Amino acid sequence: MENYPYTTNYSGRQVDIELLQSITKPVKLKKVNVSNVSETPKIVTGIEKLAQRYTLLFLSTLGSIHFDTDQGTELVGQLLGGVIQNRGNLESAFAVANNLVMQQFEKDDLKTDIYGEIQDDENLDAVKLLDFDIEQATGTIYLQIQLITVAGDDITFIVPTSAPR
Amino acid sequence: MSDLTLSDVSQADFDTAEAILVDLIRAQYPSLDLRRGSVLRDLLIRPAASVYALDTDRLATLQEQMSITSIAENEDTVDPEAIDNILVNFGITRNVGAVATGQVMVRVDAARQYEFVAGFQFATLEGLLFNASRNCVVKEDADTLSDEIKLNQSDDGTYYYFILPALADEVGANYNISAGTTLDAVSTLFGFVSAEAYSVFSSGLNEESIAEVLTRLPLAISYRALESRTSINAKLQEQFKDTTINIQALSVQGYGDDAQLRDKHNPLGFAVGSRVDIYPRLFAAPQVVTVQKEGTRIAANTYQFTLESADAPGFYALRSISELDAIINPELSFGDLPVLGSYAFTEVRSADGVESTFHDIVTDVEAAFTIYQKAIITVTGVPSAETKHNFKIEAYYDKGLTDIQTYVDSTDVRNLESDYLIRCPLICLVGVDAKVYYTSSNVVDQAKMETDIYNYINSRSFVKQLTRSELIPILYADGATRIDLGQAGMQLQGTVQDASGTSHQLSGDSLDIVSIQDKSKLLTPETVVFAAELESINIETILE
Repeated sequence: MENYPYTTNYSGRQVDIELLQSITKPVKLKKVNVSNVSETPKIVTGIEKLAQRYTLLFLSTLGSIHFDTDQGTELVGQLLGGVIQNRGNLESAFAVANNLVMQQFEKDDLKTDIYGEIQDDENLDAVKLLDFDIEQATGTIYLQIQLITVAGDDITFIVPTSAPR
Repeated sequence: MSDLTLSDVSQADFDTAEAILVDLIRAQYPSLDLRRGSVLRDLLIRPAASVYALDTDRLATLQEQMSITSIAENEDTVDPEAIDNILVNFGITRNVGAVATGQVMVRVDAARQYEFVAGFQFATLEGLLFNASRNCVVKEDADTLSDEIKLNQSDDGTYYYFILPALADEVGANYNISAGTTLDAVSTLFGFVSAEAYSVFSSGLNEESIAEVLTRLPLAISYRALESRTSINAKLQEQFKDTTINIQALSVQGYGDDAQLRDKHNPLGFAVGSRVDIYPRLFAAPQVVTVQKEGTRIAANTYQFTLESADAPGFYALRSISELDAIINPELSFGDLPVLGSYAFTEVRSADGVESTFHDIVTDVEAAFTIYQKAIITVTGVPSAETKHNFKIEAYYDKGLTDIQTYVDSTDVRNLESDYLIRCPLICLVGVDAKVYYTSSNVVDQAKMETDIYNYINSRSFVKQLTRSELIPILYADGATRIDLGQAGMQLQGTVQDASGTSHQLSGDSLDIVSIQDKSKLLTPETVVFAAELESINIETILE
C-alpha cells in the first residue's frame, strides 16, 4: 500500500535544493534520474526532501568524500565491482547499505540544537525494500524502496542505479 | 606555508570550520536544511568549510612563522627557510654548521703510487662518512711542495702509511671524532690495510639553533663598525656570516682594559688608546691542527724545530708531539697539557714578521696567540740518534684567525687611527669526572649526559668561572637522582696556558679564572674560554 503526503502546508519548513527532479511530485511510482538536474533548481521539503536525502546518502560511495569519509554506502562500489551477482547478494547489500544510511540520518537528526527541529514527515522511521531484481540481459538492477516517516506517511520510489558489470 | 594543501588540513580543523559555517548560515537562514545528505550541505558547507579550514591552517602557519619565539617552540617542525626569512629582516642568517676536518692515516701493504680524488670515502664503524679533501698523489719520493703526499714505511717495515687530509661528509659536531678512531675505506683502494683518524677531527659544528640565533639578535640590530665591543662583534659576524668561520663568541680588549698591553708603549707607561685586541672564539670543541715537522738533533735524544707562524697561525698551545705514525689515545688526557703520550718539550715563542706590518707589537707576550708568532720547540727524550727526525705536532688553534686579521687590517674597513690585532682566546681545557646515581624506574643515558656537559662547557666563553653548580642541574635534567659531591665524587679540572707559556692548573668546586689572572700574561676572564674534548668528560652512572 502506498500513502501520499498528508499535508501540503510546508510554511516555515527547512528546505533543501531539489536534486532529483522527479521526486517533487507525489507519484505512485517514478523512476528518477540525477541527470535531470536543471539549471534553475527548485526547493524541496517534506517527505520529498527525505527521499532525496536518503537517495543521496544511499548512492554515495563510502570513503569517497573528503572530510566525510563515513558518509554513503558501499552499494554502488559493490555493483561496479561485480560483487552483486544474484538477488540474494542484492538483498543483503541493500540491508547493509540501508543500515548505514539510517545511522547517518540519526547522527544529524538528533543534533536539533545545531540543525533545528525535524518534522515528523521528514523524520525517517522505517525503510522497506518492496521489490528488487537484477536484469542480467540489460545489465541493470531494480530497487523499489519505501520510506515510512514518523508521521506515518510514506513514499515509494525506484532508486536510479547503474548496471552491474 | 604556500605548500599547504587540503591534504594537510586535519579532520578536526575541517569539523571546526564546518560547525562554524553551519552556525553562521543557519543563524541567517534558519530554513535551510544543512544535515548530511542534503544538497545544500554539499553545495554550501563542504566546499566552503574546506577552504575555510585551509585558510585557517595557512594563517596559523603564517602566524607561527612570523614569530621567532613561536618558531623556537616548534623548531623541529618549522621550515628552516621560514626562520631565515625572518632573520634576514635583522640582517643575519643562521649558521648552517661546519664540517669537521682532520687527517686520516692510511696503511697500505706495499710501496707503490696511489692516486686519490677528492671525495674518496672512509667510514667509521657507526657509519659516519669522511671524504678526502683534495686530489692527490701518494708516493715515496713525493714532492710535497706540489701537494703530493709522502708514503712512509713503518719502523718495523711491515707496512707503509701516509697521512691524507679529510673532511666530514656532512656538517655536525658528531663528526669531531677522536684520534685513533678506526675507519674503513668505503671507496676501493688497492693494497688497503687499515685506516684511522690520525688526529682528533675538529671544527665540526651543528647547525645553529633558533635559541642560539636569538642571543645574536642584539648584535644584528646594532651599529656595525670596528668601534665598540658590540659593533665590532656585529661587524665581524656580518662579514663572516656565510663562510666557514663561525664566530661563537668574541671578546675585545681596548683602551683601559686589563689585558690591553700594547697601548702603554711610552716612557711613562700610561694607556693612550687606539690599540684593540680581539679574541674571537671560532670553535665549540677545541680545534686541533696537525702538522709534520723535521727536527734537528741538538743534543743526545733532543731535537729542535721551529713552528712557523704559517704552520699553525695563532696557535694557543701544543697538544702533543709524537712520532710521525703515533696516534695518542686522547681518553687519558683529562684536560691536561700536553696530553699523556706526548714527548716532553719546551717552547719559546717570539714575534715573527711584525716588522713588515703596521702593528704595534713590542714584546713576545704581545705577539702571543696572534698570526705573528712563531715558536722554537725543543723535544727531549726522543729515542733516536738520527741527525734529523720527523715529528707529528698537534696544536690547539683558532681556524680562521688569518682571515679575520686580513679583514680588519683592510684600510677599507679599519678605523685608520686604530691597530686591531686578532688573538686566539686562551683555552681553559676542562676535564670532568662525576659519579651519578639513578633509579631503575628512571634509567639514564650516560652518553647523553656526557654530551650535554660537553656542549655546555663548550658554550662558556669569557666568563669568570666554571662551577660544579652549573653542571649539576644538567645532570639532574638528564635523570640523575643523586650526584656524589664528596671527595671522590664530582671533580673539575682545568688547564690554561698564559702568554708566557706557563700552564696553570685549576680544580675544585670552581674553575676560577680570577684566581689565576695575570694581565701581564694576557690571562684574564675576558681572554679565556672554557672548552672540553668529549674524552675528558667521564661520567659514571650507578644504579641505586
